Amino acid sequence: MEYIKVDKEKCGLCGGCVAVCPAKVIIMYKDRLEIRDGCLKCDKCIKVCPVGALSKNG
Amino acid sequence: MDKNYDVIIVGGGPAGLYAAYKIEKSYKVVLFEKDDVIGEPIICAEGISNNTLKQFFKESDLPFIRNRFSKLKVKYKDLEANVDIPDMGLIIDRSKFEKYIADKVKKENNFEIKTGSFVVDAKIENDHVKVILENGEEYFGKILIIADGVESYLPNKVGINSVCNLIDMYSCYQQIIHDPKVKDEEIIFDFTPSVAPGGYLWVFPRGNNEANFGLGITSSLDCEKPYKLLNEYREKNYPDAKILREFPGCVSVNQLSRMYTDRVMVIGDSARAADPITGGGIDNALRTANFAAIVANSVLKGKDFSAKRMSQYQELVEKDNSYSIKKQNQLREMILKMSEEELDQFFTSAINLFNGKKILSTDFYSTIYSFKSSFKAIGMVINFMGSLMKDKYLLKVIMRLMWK
Repeated sequence: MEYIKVDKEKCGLCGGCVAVCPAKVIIMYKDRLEIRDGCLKCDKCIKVCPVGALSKNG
Repeated sequence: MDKNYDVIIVGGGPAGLYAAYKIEKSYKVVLFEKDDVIGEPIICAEGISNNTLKQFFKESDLPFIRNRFSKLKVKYKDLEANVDIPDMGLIIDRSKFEKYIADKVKKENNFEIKTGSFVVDAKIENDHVKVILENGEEYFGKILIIADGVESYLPNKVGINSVCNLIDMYSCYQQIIHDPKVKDEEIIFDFTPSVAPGGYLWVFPRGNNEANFGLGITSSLDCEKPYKLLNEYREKNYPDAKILREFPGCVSVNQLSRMYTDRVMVIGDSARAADPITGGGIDNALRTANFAAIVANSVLKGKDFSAKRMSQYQELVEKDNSYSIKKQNQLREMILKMSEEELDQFFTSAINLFNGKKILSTDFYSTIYSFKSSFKAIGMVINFMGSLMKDKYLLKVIMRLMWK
């Protein structure tokens, strides 16, 4: 299971999580976020998100 | 189809588009934009300084201006400063703004703009830079200009570290509101710490009693999410406001320590070039784009595309901004470290100093002369206000006083 899950309803594709991700595993397409393998579990993306669209799975 | 270009630009926001516009027409240039339309979607508070606009657009008729304002209100707890700033404030229609520049790029320069084209990778090779699109297509350029925004991804592919620290981020939320309480002629900044920790709340007037109403917090702080803080403030201060649209946004500050490498320059928000205090990104997007274009035009006349040659770009940026981005960032760091008591003192000084003043942009030397003081603290306060007014002349004078 992926460590981070994205709530697509909340996500506004602002790109903050991509900017702070130290592993550069978050990619922002024009209509969605994709989280690839290699997550360092630092939770910075959760912290930066203005609307709480990212959270830990489980 | 020939896929060799003189310049490849990635990103069709203000930075990428303006860089394209300023590259000489004789060169072969292509710009890739991941979204399907230039100018959409827009995540922006749409503020820009009149000085920047005059500097970069010589035309008298600019069709993308939403509203001009002439009053600045700065709030902190129960205090407020009201400052007259005739002819200084502008709110633009960012969508029209981008379309306006894109039109010039296509019609005047005859360059290609490819929308719906997401560049996923870039590689510096012997005699070119290769970029790879999502669909696998490859393009080759002598120079690559990266303008892929806050969500920047490409610099790391060519060895430029653009990972942003949480402390250098503003997490923001904005609502476009309609409320008779919104004054078209007045822009408001509220720095009350409980309203927006490590940031501020803004009311940018769009005209017709509409406003870009939002707030940003420093992302590393432990507090409520921006959308909650904004809603609390709106319910208290603009209870009857109608929300027309709302969206999150993030602003990264603290300019990259290295904005170039072999054949590559990074500009605008992807270079983290936004104003550290206000988070305003458009001014510095245009400024960095202009310098990147100057360097590209000159580099393409020769055969040297080395990092050393490209470093001229960063020299130009830093020479221009030595009184601005870096120093502004130091000021931001100082403010972030202040205790609540120190903040009270700082904002009380700032507000007392500026309340009731009238500042004409042509008259900055004399205005600042009257504030002149050898105390660094006063310099900081003036500098802070200069950042809010986004006036480079003002900042330059302040910096001379402060850092000499």
